[in-house]
Amino acid sequence: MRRRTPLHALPAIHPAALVASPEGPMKRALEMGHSRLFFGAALFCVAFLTIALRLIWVTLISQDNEPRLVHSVVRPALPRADIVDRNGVVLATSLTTSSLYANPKQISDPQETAKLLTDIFPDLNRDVLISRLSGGKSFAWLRRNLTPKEQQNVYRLGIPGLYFQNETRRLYPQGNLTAHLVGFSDVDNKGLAGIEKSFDDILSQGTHTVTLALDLRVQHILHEELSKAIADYTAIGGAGAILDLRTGEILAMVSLPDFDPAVPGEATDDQRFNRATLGVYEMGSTFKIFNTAIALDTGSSHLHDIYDASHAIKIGRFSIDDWHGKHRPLSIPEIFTYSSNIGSAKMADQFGPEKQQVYLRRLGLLAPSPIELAEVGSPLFPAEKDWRRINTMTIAYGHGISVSPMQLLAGVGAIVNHGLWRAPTLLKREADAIPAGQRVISENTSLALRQLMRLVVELGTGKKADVPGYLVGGKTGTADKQRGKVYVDNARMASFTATFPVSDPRYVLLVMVDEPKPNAQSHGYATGGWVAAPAVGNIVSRMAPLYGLPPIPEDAPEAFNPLAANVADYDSSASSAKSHPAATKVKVVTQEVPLAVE
Amino acid sequence: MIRLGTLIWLVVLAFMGIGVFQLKYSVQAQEKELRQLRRQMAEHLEAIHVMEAEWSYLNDPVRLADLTRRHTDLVPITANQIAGIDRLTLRAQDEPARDPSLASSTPAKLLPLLPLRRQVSYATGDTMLVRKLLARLGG
Repeated sequence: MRRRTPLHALPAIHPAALVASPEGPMKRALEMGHSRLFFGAALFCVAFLTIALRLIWVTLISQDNEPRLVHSVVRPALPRADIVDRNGVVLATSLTTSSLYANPKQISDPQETAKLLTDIFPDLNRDVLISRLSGGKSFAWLRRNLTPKEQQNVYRLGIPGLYFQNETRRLYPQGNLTAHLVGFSDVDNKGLAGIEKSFDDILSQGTHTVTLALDLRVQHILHEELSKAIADYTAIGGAGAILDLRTGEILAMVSLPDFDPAVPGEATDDQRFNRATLGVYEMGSTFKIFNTAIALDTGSSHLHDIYDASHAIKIGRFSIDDWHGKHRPLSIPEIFTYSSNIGSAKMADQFGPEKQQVYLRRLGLLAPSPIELAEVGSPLFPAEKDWRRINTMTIAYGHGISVSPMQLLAGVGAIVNHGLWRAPTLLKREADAIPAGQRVISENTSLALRQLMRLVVELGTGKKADVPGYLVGGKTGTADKQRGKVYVDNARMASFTATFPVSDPRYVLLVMVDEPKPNAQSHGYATGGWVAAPAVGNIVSRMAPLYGLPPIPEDAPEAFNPLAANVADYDSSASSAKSHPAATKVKVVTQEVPLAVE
Repeated sequence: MIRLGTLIWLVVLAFMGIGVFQLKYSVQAQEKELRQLRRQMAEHLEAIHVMEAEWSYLNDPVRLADLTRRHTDLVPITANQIAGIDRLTLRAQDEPARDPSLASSTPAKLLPLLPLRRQVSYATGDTMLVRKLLARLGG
């Protein structure tokens, strides 16, 4: 090919460039080029040097804290939080289980598959299984919540079309012991009753364990003794509860008959009914605690006033009479010890309906109990305009008003707890979160009531509840039950409420037995003193040593009851009555503590 | 021809490259171990959770009472067996000499004690200590 341009026309290397050290403008151009190279290289060097220095600094020299990858062991959120008692015993927990389902489209031989499955699960109906496994659906539950062994067996069958899915299942390790309190939930882990329901939102989050105030040991004691009383007297049911007076915590709560929370569907309505919180009943003579407290606190009566209980009171068509009455004038300690309806009605007549309403409201008897359950019954009482003289007089001995056992317990607790009412709670209260009580009666009144309650156990209807060393004080209650508007013969609610030790009460208990029938040992009686008081005595004798309460000897100053001298022997066979020579007109304690203004 | 300086830099480069990759692999191995440990922890926590449920089930009070009755001699403690240290009486030789001019004062009577069966109160602990104390009080 011919060159286009002749050789001599090509740009030639300038001869000056071939010279080692050029002169003139060439020199400047070269120097500029050199310096540009130099600056470029310097920049890169600086950059790399920075990186190198920083590397050395960070890895070798710096003692900076590295971000900690080791966190303190935080439990991952559970599918549903646990419920535990005050000592950490688990009452309700969720465990992950496998559930078996099938894709019927992929089942090749429903008959064979059903046969193999019924070998593992004998309680599954083969025909139902066959129908579930055939058909064009793509999902069919076969069996939920398998045990690991069952899962292994199904896995070994190696049948295509059967799959497992992880599900959570709620377990109740303590079973029926805490059935009403803890409640139960459905298959989708939604709470349906008890704490499971009322704290459903907190439990669903899975992070916070719900700690109850319940003490399982005391719950067991209450459950056992209540069951025994119900069995001994062939009753239809019962309820009981124990309250810690210093904190307002409910240590035990039992309602019988109960059920197994794992299979709530098999339980009858009667078994699921929480008699301790939801049922409202006329409590009978236990209300005399409140009546006497109101009379003494308002000043309308004094401890040594005498009321004439010789004749029944007749108001309109109503007649108020005593059961096994003494039919003579009685002092207030005697009215309380002998449980006189006539005396109580006369005391109530003196302070009147307005004062009665004020005090009963303060004691929490006119409003549903504030505990953290959904199953709480509302009390029944006359409307304000209907609260007449006759109502006041019947309410004095506990008829004409219906309250739940929990309300009664909290009210009695306030009376014996030096006059301070605390809202009962099912949750454990930390020492710094205990609410100050609201004052409902004065210290003096509380002391007088405690001494009166001790009289009932020392000399009166509650003798069977006495436990040597623990100064048990209480009040029996035997209330006739109503069907419609009529009182039924031989159907009664026998109850006993007690506190111990009366010198400085720590706990208050209530035991109620529904429709006890007299048995051979009880000489034809089925009253609170025969049915419920022994149960309370047994509970105290088991519970007090458990909590390490020191027993109080009989001749200690706290054990002395100045009111004992004011009550003539209950019956001539009662030899345990103590008489102290100096105590004829003993004044009850010293200065008045002012009532808090409402 | 490769200059010495360049050669040295190339060698340094090679070493640094190897170093970087080794570092990277060791970090990956650490992270893998961390993930493994975390998974094991979760498994262990789940196992603890299951065991806590089982423990609660085994702590059913009725079952415990039955086991205690069948296998041990323990019985529930009663009020007669509880007393405070201040109720201990001194032994005869340690007692200060009685001043005969003072009216005789006997210490407050304790609740009558049960005869000491071969039993231990499970509420208060050490057998030998309880037996010694009770022997002193009863004697």
